[in-house]
Amino acid sequence: MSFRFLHAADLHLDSPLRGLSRRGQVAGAFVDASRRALENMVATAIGERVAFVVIAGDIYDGDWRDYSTGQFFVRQMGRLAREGIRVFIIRGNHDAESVITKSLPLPNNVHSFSVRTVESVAIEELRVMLHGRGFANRHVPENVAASYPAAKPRYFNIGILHTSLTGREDHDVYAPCGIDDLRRPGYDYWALGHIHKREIVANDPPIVFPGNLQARHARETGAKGATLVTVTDGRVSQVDEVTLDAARFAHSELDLSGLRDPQEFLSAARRVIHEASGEAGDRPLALRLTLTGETALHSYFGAHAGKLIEDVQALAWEINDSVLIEKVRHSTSLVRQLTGSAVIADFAEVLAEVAADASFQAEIEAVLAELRSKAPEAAFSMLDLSGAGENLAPSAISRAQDLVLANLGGVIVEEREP
Amino acid sequence: MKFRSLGLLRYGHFTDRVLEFPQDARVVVIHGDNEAGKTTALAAITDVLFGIELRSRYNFEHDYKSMWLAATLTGAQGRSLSFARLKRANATLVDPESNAALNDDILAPFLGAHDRQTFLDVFGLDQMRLREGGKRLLAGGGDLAASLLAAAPGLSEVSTLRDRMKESAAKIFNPQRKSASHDFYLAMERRDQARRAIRAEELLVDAVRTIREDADAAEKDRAEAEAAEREARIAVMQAQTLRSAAKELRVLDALLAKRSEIGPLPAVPGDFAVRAAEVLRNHEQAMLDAARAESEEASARAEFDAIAIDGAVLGLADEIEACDDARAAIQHELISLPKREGEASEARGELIAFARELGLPDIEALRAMAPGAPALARVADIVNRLHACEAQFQTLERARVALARRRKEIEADGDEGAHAADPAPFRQRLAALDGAEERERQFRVLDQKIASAQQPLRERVRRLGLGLHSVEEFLALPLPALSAADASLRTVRDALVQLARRKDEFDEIAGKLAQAEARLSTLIAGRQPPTEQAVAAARTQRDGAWQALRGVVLGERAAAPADQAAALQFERLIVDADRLADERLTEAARLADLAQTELAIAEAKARAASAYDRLTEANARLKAANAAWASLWPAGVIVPPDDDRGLELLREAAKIIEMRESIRDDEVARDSGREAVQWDRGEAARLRHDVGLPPLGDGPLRIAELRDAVHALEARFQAARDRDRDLVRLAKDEDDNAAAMRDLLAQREQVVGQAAALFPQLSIRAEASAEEAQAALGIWQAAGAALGKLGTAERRIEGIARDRALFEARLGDLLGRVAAPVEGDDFATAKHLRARLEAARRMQAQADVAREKLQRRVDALHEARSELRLCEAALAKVLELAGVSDAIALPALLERLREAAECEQAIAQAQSRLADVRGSRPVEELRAEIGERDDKALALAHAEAEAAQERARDAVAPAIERDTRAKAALADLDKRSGAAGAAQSEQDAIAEIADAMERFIRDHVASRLLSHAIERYRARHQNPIVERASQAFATLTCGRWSGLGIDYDLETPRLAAVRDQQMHGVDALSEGTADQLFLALRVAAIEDHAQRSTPLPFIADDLFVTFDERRTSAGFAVLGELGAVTQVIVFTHHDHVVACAQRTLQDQAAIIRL
Repeated sequence: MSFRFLHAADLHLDSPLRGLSRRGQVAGAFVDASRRALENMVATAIGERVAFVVIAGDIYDGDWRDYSTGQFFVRQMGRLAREGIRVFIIRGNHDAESVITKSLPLPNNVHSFSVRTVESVAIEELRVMLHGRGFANRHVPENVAASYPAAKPRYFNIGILHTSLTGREDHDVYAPCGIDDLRRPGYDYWALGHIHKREIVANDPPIVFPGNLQARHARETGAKGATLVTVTDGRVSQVDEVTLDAARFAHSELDLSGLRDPQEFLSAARRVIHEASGEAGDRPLALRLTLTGETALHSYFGAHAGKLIEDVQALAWEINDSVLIEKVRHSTSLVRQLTGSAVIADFAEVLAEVAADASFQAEIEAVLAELRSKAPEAAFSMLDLSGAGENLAPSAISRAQDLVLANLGGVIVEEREP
Repeated sequence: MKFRSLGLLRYGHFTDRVLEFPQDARVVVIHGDNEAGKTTALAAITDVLFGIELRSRYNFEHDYKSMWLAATLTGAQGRSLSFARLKRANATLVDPESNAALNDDILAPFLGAHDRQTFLDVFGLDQMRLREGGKRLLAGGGDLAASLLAAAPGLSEVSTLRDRMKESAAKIFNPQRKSASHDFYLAMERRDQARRAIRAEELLVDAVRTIREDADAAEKDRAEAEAAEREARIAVMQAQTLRSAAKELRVLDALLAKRSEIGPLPAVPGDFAVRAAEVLRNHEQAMLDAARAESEEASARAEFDAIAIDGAVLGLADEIEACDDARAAIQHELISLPKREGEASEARGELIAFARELGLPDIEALRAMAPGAPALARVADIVNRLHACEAQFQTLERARVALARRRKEIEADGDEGAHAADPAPFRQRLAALDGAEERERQFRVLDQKIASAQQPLRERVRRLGLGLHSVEEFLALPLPALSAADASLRTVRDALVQLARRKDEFDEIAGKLAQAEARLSTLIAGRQPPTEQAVAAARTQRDGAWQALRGVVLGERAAAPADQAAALQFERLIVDADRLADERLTEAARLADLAQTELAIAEAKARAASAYDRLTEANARLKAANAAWASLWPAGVIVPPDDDRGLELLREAAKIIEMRESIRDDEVARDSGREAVQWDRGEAARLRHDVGLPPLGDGPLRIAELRDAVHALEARFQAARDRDRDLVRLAKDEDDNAAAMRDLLAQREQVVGQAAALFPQLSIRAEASAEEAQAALGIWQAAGAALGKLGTAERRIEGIARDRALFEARLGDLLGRVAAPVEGDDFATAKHLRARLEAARRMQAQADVAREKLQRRVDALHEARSELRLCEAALAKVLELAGVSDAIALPALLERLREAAECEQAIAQAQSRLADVRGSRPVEELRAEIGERDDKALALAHAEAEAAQERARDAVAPAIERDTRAKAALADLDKRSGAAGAAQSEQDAIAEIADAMERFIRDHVASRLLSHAIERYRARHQNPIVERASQAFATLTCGRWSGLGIDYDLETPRLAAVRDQQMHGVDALSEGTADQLFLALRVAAIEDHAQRSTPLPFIADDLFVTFDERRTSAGFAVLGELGAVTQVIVFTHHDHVVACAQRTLQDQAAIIRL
């Protein structure tokens, strides 16, 4: 006997995509991405004639209280119900605090596992036993995997758990556990959720994070979707990645070493954007470009930062009107000049002195503190001041120093002849 | 140059007055009241140095001839000169001892290049000149002004950038002022809008719950309303039922009465009356039908008997038709006979021509030799094979020539190339050198970087100012930790602050003490009040005189001559004592004030002593802090100043250490890379040698050359391999071609043999070529066609003759059998016979129709008679059932039966209607319920029920509407897309805010960084005069102004005073502050000048007129500093100025009173 099921997690329905300041109409294409991704998932489940669907938590965002989101989810589950496809869900850390979760009546084909204890549900016609437990709290510090029962003999056993395992970057620790904890009950497949990057943690048995259905910001790059599992004669015979996202984030690095002409840069950018656009297919794409390398264009970029973004965006739209340049980060460095007319020979040294001046740093810190007090914290956290911590001034001053040097590239000589 | 003394020997109102200038004094103050000769002395300084003016004003007491000044000067290297200056045309300088004339140039070493005017302009200042000079400087005149303002050239681009950044930042955000037009606030507003939109568009759980509860309630209300309406409808129906039932019951009762009136009837089936009436009607009709059938049968029979038939002709109908068809065919063939004969003749002509071409005598010979299709096919096959052999031969021949040409080419190429070895080993060795150039470049870059970093490192170590000579020496130094130094510096600063505070405290007390002392001086100025002791002394003297006279007055003794004088003395003493007592009484208030002042002075002195102790203590603490600071630093180094410069030095030291660490890292990387680079170079050299490249030497690796060389070897090796392969292929092709040629020749020989055997059979030469055989074959093929055509024509002509004879025989036979006469020729006779046949057929058809008609009439007659018999039998049965013997009585019976049936049918219908009305309710129940009520009563009840139903129906509609609305509202929930779009807008706005913040931080910090850097850069490159003047100005204004700067933001840079980091033009300054600015500039200029040449004494004439007390003190402090460079002489007529000088400079101030 053979059947297939779809394993998804971390839908975060209606969670807005971050980092897309409005730059033309293309930004609008990202708005419904999480809904479109869910529609894609449902269409795939129907198209692939799966026996059932498992959603391993975080269907909603915790602080999102719009009931329409829940209704949309119910409508999509209704589509599956009409096709006779059952759905098994657990509450993740985001669902735990969601008012939608608590109030939404689910269709009959959807089974939500208990949040008090591990619950086992059988699908007798398939000889499948699903073991799962949702969570009622935003934070679950204990190892709940240990409470999962042993596998039921002569059944295909699936464990469903929302967990960070032993910890993953960029994710809160949640229901931590180890791989050995998951192997102990003797299940045939572990359907995990919480980690947004797809990962097959182990193969025997398969322990799988399918990743989130739709990327939400520039750090979640690449294809996103679910995992299609084929079971033959009671064993997993195939695990396939299914791409379902409706919009895509990408991050391309562009090495400009040796380039001297802005046109050369645009040509290189065109190539990179074209590649990224091709990989995204017909989806809207938010592309972050990081420019690296030692280049004579460093000063040009510094002096024309605004125009640079406009040029690259125009170039992107020329290639594909669904490509949005999310950000252009400058990590280039200036070609060191050992000769030249030292018009202001030691200005760079003076700049460095001022930058290191404690009173100047205090002045800047005061202004930045004022700015920070007026700005939302979410915007502050998006600032590209790496390693700034609470004190923004050193990082901001360092970047300003680079900017000034870049702008004065034609005036200031970086190094004086000894 | 300094004055040691100035002799006003005969000058103005001075005579033999010599002013001695103490050499160790920083400032000499020449103090004189009005008309004391201050101005005269001032003029004497100029005159003694540069000569008494021609029209000197100071000849009012000593005439020109006797005017005499003297001076003793001290110049550079301690050189001294004493001279006297006379008022005369020549030799104005004389030796003061010998009066011998001195050379006019003798003062040049002391005066330098200065003349009277420059001395007055630069060194001799009164307030007016100070102001004029300052204003001239500020107006931009002169070299000094140009040099002052020329600091930090080339900053215009930097300033432009700063302004651009500042402007850009100002459009985004302003910490001091919120503006809706700022990008930051625009994005914030968009975020707020999005949040409002979220609140407006989001669908809350409570709202959903409310809508659901409304829907449930509406559904319930609707169900109840519908139930009520249903019950009302039932009540109406019941009322209607009673009303209808009453009516039907009345009808039913009437019908039952009518039926009983008809009386009893025979028991007949239900449909008897109908059936009996039908039987009667059928019987009558059957009798009529039988009579009509008999008449029609007789008529048909007569019609059939009247038709005659031609049987003889009809019997031979087929033969007659065949004969006529043969007649028509023959007639047609006879028409085409001439054409067939023509075709035969034409074919014969062609055949004769073919026979001739083939060398045959006639058509018969041709016909005899004509080959069949197989023979022609064989010949054609041989011809084709001959053609194929020829074509293949040509192809093989061309291939042979091409291969020979190709061989020549390859062999020619082979002659040019030499043997090439496989370059794979070279390629592998070259691969091992991948990245060698980059490694070497990195090595050299590192090496160069390390080398180039050493000197700056040493330079930075040197600039630390610790007196170190090498980096190693620096690195070995146990420099204090920055935190320790910072803590120590804080202690020093605290001590300084404390000291300053104690000093201020002490100064304040000292000031008060001075004020008290001044007041005391005022109080005791003028006449001294009689003291207590003086009064007591006067009284004692008075009492003494009384004692001497008392005996006389009391008569204790006689008057003596001296008593008169004693009495007079006593009288004077009484007056004096009283006067003193009176005066003391009069001065009591003043004395009290005096006592109070004395007390205050005493207290002030005590407080001053205490303050002095604290000051001393603060000084000690400062010294201790200084010592602690010094102890932080290792022995042998120059201890840096105990201020921020010390911290800067430590920060710089940390950077140097970091730089050194970086260099060490680079050195480690370089050393580790050196071995790889050496191996690379060795391998590269060996490989270059092996591939035949010139030696590498010390130049770069030039891997590209090696790569090219290996590629060339590879190309040569590949070309040789390709040539060998081509030759092998060519030989094989040549062999294949030769074999094919041999096969072809054998095949052609076989075909020629077959042709020799076959060709003569077709009258073709045995050795005929393929083309010749092809032509003969064509003739034979054409002859075959012509023979066929001739045979066909001849066969058709013969057939026509045969068909005609056969026709004539058949016609004769027919004529004999039907005994018909001949009508014209055979063809006409045949036609006539055919016409007769057609006529006989028409008569036969008429007879067939009449027979069929007769048969139908006979059948109809039989049927009518049979029907009549059936009707008679049925009628007999009806009569029997009705119980009557005669059919005449039957209609009356049937009428009664009909009426009874109608009545019973109406009863049934009434009962049926009643059943419809009552439903399942028994009739008796209805009757009981109707009771005695008549129609009116029942109608009233019905109307009441209908009214109730109407009310119920009215209640249903709103309930349905509400339920529908609630359900629609519920359904609308599903259609709502929610606030996701607005949430995305909010997130987008947050991204915009972040973007605005990032841009603001970038531009604002950059603009501020530039502002500070520009300021610092300008300060660093500022003209030293401005820098010194700035410091002096800050001192002169007691710190109210932080200094001077150049306002480069103006179109023409201008000197400006700085306060709170703001530039203020001189025009905006008060008169006093402007004077202080001018003085600061003048002092700085002189100090600057002093660095290049010996300055003249700085002579100031009441410069502090516009200075307040504190700034006057500050002025003396500055002049005291100037006094370290040159002699400073201040003329004043103000006592407080003198006091101020003494207070400020203490023993460094010398006072000369005129």
